[in-house]
Amino acid sequence: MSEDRDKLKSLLLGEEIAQIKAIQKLLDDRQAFTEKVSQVLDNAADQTIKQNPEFQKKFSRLDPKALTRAIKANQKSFIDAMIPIMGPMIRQSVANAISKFVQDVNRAMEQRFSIKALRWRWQAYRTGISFTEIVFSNTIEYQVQQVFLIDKESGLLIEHAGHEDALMQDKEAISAMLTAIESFVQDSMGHDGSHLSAAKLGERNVEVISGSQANLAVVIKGAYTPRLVDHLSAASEQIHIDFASDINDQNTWNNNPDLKVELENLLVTKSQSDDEESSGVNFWPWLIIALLLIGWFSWRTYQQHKALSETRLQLAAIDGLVVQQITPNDDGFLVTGLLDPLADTSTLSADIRLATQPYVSLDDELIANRVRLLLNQPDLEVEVRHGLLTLTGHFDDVQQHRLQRQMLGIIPGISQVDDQSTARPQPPDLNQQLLNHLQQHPLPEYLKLQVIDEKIVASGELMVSDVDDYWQLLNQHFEAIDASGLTLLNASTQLKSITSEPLNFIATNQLSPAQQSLLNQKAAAFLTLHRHNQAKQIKLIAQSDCQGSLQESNANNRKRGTWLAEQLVQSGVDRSLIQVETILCEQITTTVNTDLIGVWFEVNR
Amino acid sequence: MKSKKICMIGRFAVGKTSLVDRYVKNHFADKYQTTVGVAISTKIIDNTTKLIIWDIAGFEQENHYKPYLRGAHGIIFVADATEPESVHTLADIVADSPELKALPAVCFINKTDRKDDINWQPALDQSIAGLTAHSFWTSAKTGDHVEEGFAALSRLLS
Repeated sequence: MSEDRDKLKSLLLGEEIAQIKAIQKLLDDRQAFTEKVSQVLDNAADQTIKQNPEFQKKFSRLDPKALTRAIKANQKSFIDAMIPIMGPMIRQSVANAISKFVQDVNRAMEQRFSIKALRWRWQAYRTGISFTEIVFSNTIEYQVQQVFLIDKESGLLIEHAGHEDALMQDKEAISAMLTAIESFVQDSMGHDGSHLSAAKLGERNVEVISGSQANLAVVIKGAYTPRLVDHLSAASEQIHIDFASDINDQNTWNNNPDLKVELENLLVTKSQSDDEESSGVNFWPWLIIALLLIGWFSWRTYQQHKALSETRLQLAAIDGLVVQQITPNDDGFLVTGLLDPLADTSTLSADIRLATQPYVSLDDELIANRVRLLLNQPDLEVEVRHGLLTLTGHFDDVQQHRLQRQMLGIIPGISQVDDQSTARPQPPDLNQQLLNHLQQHPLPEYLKLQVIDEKIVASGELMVSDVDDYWQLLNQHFEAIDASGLTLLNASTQLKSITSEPLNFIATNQLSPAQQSLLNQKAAAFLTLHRHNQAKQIKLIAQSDCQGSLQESNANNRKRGTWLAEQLVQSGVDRSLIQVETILCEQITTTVNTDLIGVWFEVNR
Repeated sequence: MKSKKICMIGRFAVGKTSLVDRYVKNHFADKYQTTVGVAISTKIIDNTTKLIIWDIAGFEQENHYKPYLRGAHGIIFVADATEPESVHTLADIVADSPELKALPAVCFINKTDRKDDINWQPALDQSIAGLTAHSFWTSAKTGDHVEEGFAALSRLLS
């Protein structure tokens, strides 16, 4: 049966059987099969990718583990391969970092002390974002005006976004020129793999982001930060990923709406005014008002707290006051609580108003006040300490004091009494003392002593000669003698006032007002001396210059003496105490001398 | 609209810039000005194609012009009818950059207005034929065959 089948197979298939065996052999021989597949693999891959572009990703997928193993196995080769790539990358990275750092420092210094900076600091504090980030995001102003995606090799424009009207030349010429410039710079400066990254003209900058297939050239007006360049670099990388096939297909260049939209997304405008408007409300004035209100409330609270503290101190210093509540009102504080009627509230300021209920305080000072009020003894010292009442000093009435001490027991807060007070010794009667003294030492005439308000009061007149004797005697017996009403007399002074100066007058019955006053003084002085037995008589000596006739001069002398004696009588001098003497002229003089005409005075003691 | 990169190739002072000016601006300047590096001009033809014309200088310096040729779609070789050496320069450039042979190309033999100075031998035609099959005797000054030459290249590019 089996042989028949084999024969049938050889008749039907013949050469195909040999081919199948050859194919089977090829499949079984791994080396031969690998060589065979490798011959068509390249074309098969190209065709597969052409039919299904997504399939390419599978080829480009790297196995990280395999890559790691390869690097570990041959580090030097990888290093040699990476150095030409990494060197320029590192240099560019460092240069970018330094440039960015310098710009950051400059901007930060410029904005450090402005009012706006305070607002940004507040924003940084509120949001948790660093102050530097806030500064940069608020200060930069730029506008991305044009975006060119340029084929790296030909310089032809792949796609463009922006207003073409703003371009001096057409966009294709610009993209070609940028590429030409890059080639020129590379040709002139070297071939180390670096590329033209930026160009500047006026306030416009051209940033060229180099990609693997295409360059992204961006025209930016204004100041911008490296962060924008970072953003553009990321965008370029993403475009290379998302539009890889379009970038390589020249048929889609300048006719790719999706790519154009992608580039248009890079046309951003950043301005400070936009930031201000985007916030909706300019909160700065409100912040100032809020700060002022907070400041005012803080100040007012501080003042109230300060006044309340001072009030508490004042209230705490008052014995006999129990404070229950302190309520601020418009013009001060209303204090409610308990108040001992004997408490002294006079030290409280006017803005403290008390609304208290009476109570009996057991403060030592209040108990002492209560004892003083009960005893009513001005010379009795009262002290209360921890319930012990100590009395010192003097009391006036022994019987009354004894009764009052018994009443001390009813005063709350007194547990013990230490009475060290004594009865006040009664002073002797001053009138009696004065009488006794006067009996032993009679008063000089015209001196008067009397007791007024427990004090010796002296009045009248006392000759100086008597003072030393009698006054010392008085002072030995009596303290504090009031001598404000006593007139001290000096006999020699009185005598001199009588005899020192004559009265020169020519008329026999007339004195000038000054002479009349002088005569009155002399009369008073004589009377004083006479009262104190210091003068017995006053003698008037009349004389003249003896000019004219002897008879007339002598007559006039007598008239002057007699007339002046009569004037003394009218001044109070007894007539019997006056003696008049006339000096008679013995010869006539021819020269008139008025100083020799008048009356001279002497006193007989 | 498709953009096509065209490179003007030729030695110093053969009239590359004048040809471009004549074609793009219909203008000719008697005063000679040296091109530094490269000058870019554009011209739209048939509302479907835009020629990006790279007027390249510095062919006397070896390799300096090569970066500008990358990605070119077409070549315009320019020779000076009065300077046979200019044809040799074109041959040298192509020998140095053989990839140019694969590109559509035309050759402008320029300065035909200077009839008395023309110095041309048949051997030069052979050299031109080694570069391209499409050659035009042009004059940037008079505009003779300039438009025609660019149009021929455009057709080759389409």
